[in-house]
Amino acid sequence: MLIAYIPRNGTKYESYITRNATDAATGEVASQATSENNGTWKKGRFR
Amino acid sequence: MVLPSGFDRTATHTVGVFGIRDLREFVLNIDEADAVFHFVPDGSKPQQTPEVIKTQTCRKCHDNMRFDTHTGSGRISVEMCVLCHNPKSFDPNGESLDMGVMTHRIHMNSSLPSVVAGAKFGYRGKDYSKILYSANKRDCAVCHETTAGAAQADFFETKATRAACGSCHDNVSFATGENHANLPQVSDSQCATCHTVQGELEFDLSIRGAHTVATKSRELPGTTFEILDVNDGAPGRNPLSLSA
Repeated sequence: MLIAYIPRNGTKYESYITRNATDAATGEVASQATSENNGTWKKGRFR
Repeated sequence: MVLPSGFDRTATHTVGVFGIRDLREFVLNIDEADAVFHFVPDGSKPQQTPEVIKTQTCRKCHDNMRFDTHTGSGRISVEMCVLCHNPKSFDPNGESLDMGVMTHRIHMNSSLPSVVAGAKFGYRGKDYSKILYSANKRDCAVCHETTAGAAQADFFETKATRAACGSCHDNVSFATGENHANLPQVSDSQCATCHTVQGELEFDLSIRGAHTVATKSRELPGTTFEILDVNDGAPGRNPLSLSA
C-alpha cells in the first residue's frame, strides 16, 4: 500500500511512507518514497 | 499506516494498492493490477491529482508497464508511479526520482549534455546513458499527448519549471545563470516570461520554438534524396556504398 498527500499550494505528491536507500558502492544515503505491506484492512467509514 | 499527528486534514490524499497473481508455476504469466483512491480527510472534494500523462500513452511503447526493479510488482499505472516518484525522492547518487525529472532524463540518456560531456548517468549504480529511444527527443508530443485526456496535458507548455526543463538541459545552472543567458532563477515564477507557449518564430525561446522538430519544420527547405544506383548489391555482398 502507498499513501501520499499533496501539500498545500502544491501539485505533486509527498509520500507518508519513506525509507533510506544506501548506495552499495559509495555508502551515500537518500530518502525515497516507498510502500508498506504490514498493515491490516478494516472496512468502514473513518472521519 | 498511521498518519502522523497534525497531518493536514484539508489536503488531498491518495491511497494506492497493488497486487500480483503469479501463475508461472502453471506456465502462465504474472497478472498485475493496481488502483488508487483520492480523498480529503475533512470530507471535502479532492483537488486535481497529478495527471500530466495518461498510462495509455506510456503503453504505446511500454506495453506491459514493467520497469526495471518494478517489473512484476503490480505497479503498472502512472497514477501509482507518481505517488512515490515525487520531488522528495532521490537516488543515493543525487539523481531525482521525481517522475517529471527522471522520465525526461531516462528518455534523453545519451543526449544529456552532462553525458555528452563525459559524465555518467543512472540509478542504483546502473548505467542508463545508453538506453535507446526511438522517437525524436525534441518531439515532446510523443509523450505529452494533448488528445489522451490527461487533465494537465498542457503543463509541459504552460507550466515550465526549473526541475522539468533542467532535467534535460542539465548544463544549465539556474542558481548562477550559467548557460541561461546569465539569468539566475530562484523560483519558477518567471519562466513563462521568456518561455511562452509559442513565439513569433518557428525556432525561438518559446517552449514550442525550442523543441521544433527539424523534419516537421515549415521554414526549413529540407533535403530531397534520389537513389540512383546501389553498388555491390549482389547476393552474398554488402551494398555498402550508394551513389546518389
